[in-house]
Amino acid sequence: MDERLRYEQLIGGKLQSLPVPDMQDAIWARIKTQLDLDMPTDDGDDGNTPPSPTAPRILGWGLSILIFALVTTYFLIKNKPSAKNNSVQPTTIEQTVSPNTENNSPPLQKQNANNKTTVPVNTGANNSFNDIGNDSLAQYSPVTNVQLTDDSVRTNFPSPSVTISSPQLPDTNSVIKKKGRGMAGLGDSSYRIVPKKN
Amino acid sequence: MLAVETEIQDMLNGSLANKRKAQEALFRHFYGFAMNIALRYSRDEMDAADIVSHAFVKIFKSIHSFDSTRGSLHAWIKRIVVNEGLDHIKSRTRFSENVELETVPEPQINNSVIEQMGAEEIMEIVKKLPPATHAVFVLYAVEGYNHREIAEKLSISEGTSKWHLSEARKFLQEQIGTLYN
Repeated sequence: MDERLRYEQLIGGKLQSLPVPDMQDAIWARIKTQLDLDMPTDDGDDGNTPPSPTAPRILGWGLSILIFALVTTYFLIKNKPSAKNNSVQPTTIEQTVSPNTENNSPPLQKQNANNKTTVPVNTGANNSFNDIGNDSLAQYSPVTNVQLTDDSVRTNFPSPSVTISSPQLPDTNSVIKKKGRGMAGLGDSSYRIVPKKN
Repeated sequence: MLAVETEIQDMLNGSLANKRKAQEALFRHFYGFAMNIALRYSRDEMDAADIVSHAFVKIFKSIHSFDSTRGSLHAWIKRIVVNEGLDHIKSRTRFSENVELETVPEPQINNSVIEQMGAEEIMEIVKKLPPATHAVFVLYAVEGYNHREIAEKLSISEGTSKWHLSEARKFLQEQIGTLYN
């Protein structure tokens, strides 16, 4: 019974040579899809997978933020010293009071007095209209090591030695010269004061 | 070692490392062989494509269990494709257990008629068999399994396997006789 008959051997032989349909690509696509689900691999792109669109987008955003941060930092650093130079600070006075001083009035009073007399403040607000044209660096020249002279405020007291620290000179290279107002070539001398006629 | 054997070994090593390129190369190398087996157990090409794709997924998943000292890669792949083909048949039919047969009568089929027929023509007749009978006939006549092995594969008794073979012979005798008489 287990012996194959002659016709069965013939049929077996014929069926071994059945023509095979060309379905390789379609079948491989199915196999690959199933394998990607069941056995993910990291052997790289095989050319079928499109690149992720989110990667370059994230990179672009990151670069934009980085460039923005760098530019902002650069302007902040650049504007910081120039802002210092442009704003005129009142002259700082460091006062040292000699220890052998007697009959001192309260230090606060003295300091106030000293400030009153020695500080050449130029805030710009006090400038008269005519001074605007003469705005120059010379106006901001600092007072260094000013020795106080006797005045009405401190006549009754021994003079304390006052040391005024030298303020920082504005960097003339970094200060941007203001553009003069009015017509070019006109100065104070160009104006003639004519008394009003009745 | 022959160049082809070296090539197959490279595909095998790449498949073991889960490399898609190597898996694809191995699939394409054995496609004709596997598809030919699958066609014997299917009703049409789409069925065969299902059998092949499922079989190769199993092959790649269990390729680490292949032992070249126990048999060739061809034999291992054939076993997996045949099992997949049988699973496919089992999914759409049921093997009856209440039919048993001790002896199978030999049919009267003219061998010269078979020799004149083409493979596709023969396959068209085989496809007309009921699925379970189809499976038993292909396993017996084409793959060369005996009734004990078929019984094991299909989880049926040897008597049932003989009954299916008897039914297949009768049907083929009838069909071939009708065609050429």
